[in-house]
Amino acid sequence: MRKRSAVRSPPAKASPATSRLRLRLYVAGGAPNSLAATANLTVLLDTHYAGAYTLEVVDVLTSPEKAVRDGVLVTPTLMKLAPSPIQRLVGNLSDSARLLLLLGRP
Amino acid sequence: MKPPLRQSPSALAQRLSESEATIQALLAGQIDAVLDTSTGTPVLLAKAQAALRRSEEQLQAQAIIAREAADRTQYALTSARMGIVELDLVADRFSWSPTTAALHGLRPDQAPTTREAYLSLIHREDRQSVESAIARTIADGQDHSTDFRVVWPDGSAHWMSGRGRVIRSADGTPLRIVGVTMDISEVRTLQAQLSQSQKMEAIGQLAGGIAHDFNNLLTVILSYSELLIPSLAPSDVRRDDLMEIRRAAEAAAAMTRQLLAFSRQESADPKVLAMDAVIAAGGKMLHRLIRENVTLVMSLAPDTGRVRCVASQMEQVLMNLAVNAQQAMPRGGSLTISTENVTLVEDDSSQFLPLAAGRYVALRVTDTGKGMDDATKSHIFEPFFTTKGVGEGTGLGLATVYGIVKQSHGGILVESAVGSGTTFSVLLPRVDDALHATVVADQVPRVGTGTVLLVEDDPAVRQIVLRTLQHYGYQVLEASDGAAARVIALEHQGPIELLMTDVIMPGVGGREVAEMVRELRPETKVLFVSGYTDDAGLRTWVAATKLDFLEKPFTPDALIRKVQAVLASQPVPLAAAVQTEAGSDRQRVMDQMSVVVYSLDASDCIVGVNEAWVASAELNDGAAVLPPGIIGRSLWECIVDSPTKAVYRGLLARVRERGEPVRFEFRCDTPARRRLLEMRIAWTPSAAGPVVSFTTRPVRVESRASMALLDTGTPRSSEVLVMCGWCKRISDGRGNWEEVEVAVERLQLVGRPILPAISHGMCEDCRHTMTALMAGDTPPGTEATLGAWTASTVTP
Repeated sequence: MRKRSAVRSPPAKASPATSRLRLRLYVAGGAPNSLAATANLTVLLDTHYAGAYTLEVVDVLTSPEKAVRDGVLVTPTLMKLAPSPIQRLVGNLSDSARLLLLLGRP
Repeated sequence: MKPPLRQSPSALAQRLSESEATIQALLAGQIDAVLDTSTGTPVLLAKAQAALRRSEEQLQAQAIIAREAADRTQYALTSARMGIVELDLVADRFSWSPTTAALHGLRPDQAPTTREAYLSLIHREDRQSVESAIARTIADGQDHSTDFRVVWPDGSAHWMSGRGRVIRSADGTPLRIVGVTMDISEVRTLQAQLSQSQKMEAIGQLAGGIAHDFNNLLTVILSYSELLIPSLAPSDVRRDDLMEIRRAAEAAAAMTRQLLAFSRQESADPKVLAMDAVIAAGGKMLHRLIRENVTLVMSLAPDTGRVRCVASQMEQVLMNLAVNAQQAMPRGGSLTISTENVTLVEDDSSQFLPLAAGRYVALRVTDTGKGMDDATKSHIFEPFFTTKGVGEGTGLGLATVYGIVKQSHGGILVESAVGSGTTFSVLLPRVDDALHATVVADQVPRVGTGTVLLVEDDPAVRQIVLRTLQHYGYQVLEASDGAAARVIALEHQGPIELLMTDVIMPGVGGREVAEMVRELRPETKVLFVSGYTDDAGLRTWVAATKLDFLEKPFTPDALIRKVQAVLASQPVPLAAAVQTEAGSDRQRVMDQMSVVVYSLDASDCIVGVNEAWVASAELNDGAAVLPPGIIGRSLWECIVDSPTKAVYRGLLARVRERGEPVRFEFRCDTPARRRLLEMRIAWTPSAAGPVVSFTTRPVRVESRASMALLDTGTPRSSEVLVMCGWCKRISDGRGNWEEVEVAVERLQLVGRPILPAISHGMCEDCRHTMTALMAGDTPPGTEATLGAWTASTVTP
């Protein structure tokens, strides 16, 4: 019964404040821009979203199939998976204003 | 897959904006890799590729460095016989570095894995102390260090030193103990050997010190009894009493000699002798000493080499070892004495006296007696250690052997086991020198003539020697120390045939006294007296110079015999390399010149000189430097070279300004003598106005091989050497100044018929010293020494 009602209940309205931030960063091993992107992203996340995000780092040198599936053409590429919409940001993520915009915080 | 055209306009717009951003990022160089969508392979851009390669190379380099560091650590641990151990306190897991296994005699795969297993490797008696050290470390957090034994699988025990530290979590919970362990078995053995040798050394010093004072007392007792005995009639009962006193004193003297032999301070004159001959001679006496139930076997190899020793001492070694061996066989047995040549291939420090590799001659004394355990063996050479009952042995026998062998630079090997006898092997270095010829003692005349200067600090000994010498007809001048002796040597009218001086005295020692007296009276013969020559340098000096030496305690008879012998001999030079210019009056005056004085008036004119000055000026080529009719002439006419003039001007100015004297020492060498003179320049008021006096006296004079370079009589070439007028060193022209001997050697001047001319100059050192002296930077009455020599700088 409970299961049923759960299915039928309307989906909660997605909101940047309540939905957990889910990210995937595509990098190319220890290449300089990949390292910079990783560092820039983690610093910013720890400052603004400490404990409230999930980050998956994918190395295209070891797992290229994931990148192909996600339609990623270059690295570093950051994919915001949740909250929707899915968005991408390419580059070393040194522009923190743009990064925050992507993450949903103006 | 959805065709792109079916995408919503907003999604399309987003894709477009992302593509634009991608192109911007590409242009900004923020892209590392592009994925080939057809194959799914990432293609690294050149820059990223290079960077990745670099970081990979760095990683490799780091790995190499890490591996090398690990290798080094491994090597250090292995060679230092160290191991690293770790005890995980939480999981009770024990681990160690691979090097640790070897320290426990184990294979690497036999490593213990628990605390209990590790502790089981430790010697039962030490386990408790290791456990409590661990507990203490955990409790108080301090590093701990403890020495303990570990037992190897073969049952042998090995000493280890362990140090440990506890590692704690953030909240202070002890997590694990890490430590290092080190094999210290070798250190322990060396420590034991060192403390044994230090103990022997200390006992030796103690014995030697007592023997010194004891000898003085015995000399007095022996001498007085011997002087008194002839004065009593044979029927007088007191005569027997006196003879009893003398016998007791002689016995005491023999014991003192044994003590001195042990502390190897006995002065003896070793000779080159054939070991088998010495032992054969000593062996004859043994037959009388050995009991009937002991079979004496002499097995002397006729080809045994020669050794440097004192025959009587070697006989004593043999006797003591033989008596000892006999006493180890109360129910009889066999005593074998043998000699043989032995070559040690490597150094042996395991024994009582360490032996360097080399050729030796061995004397072996073997018995079939009861043998000794290790505890007894470790004490046998200590004086007064005895296994015999009270009154049966003095405990000095083997101590004497030890002292004699040590003095002869030999070693002793002891092989013994309880119940299976003992072998003592005395090894003395084999020498190739010619055998010493035996000298037959002459008959000594009983009455003598001549004057003896006696220097002895002990009043009782001085008194008895004085009486003995006078008794036999000698005139005696007595002095209690070097200073008094010097005064006598200076002032005594008439000859002094013999200087008899104690070697060890407070203040000026016998050697200095002898040099001082010889300086004043070169014809005087010297006899040294001592019972205690602890000074190694002195012993060497006595041995090297073949000087006459009388050992305390001595009887009047021995004293007179020695005095007669010395007086009958040629005087022995004090320094080994003395080479005097025979019959040179000039030299004699130069050497004896004691005080030279001249004085100046206010205008630097010479107003007076003493006789010694006249003699010295004439002899020191003064005629060339100082014109005759010196009185009234200016000092500055008399000094030729300008640096010297400048120095004297400066010193005079200082003395006049301050009214205080200056004092310095400088070199004034002659071809056959090195002389350090003292110059004192003082200002004195006088009736005719203030005068400045120059006083010179010798401080130190030493003979040397005649230096033709300094002799002005030698033909000179146009080659010029510069000599510093103050320290008498010679310049090599490159700023180095060296002693004449060194320069002569280096320039190969020996044997040249024509020598370089010598010009006088001043070296930098002396210029510096003199400048400070003139400037008055030094305190009043100040001193400076220019050209003092040490033994090493002048040994040709």
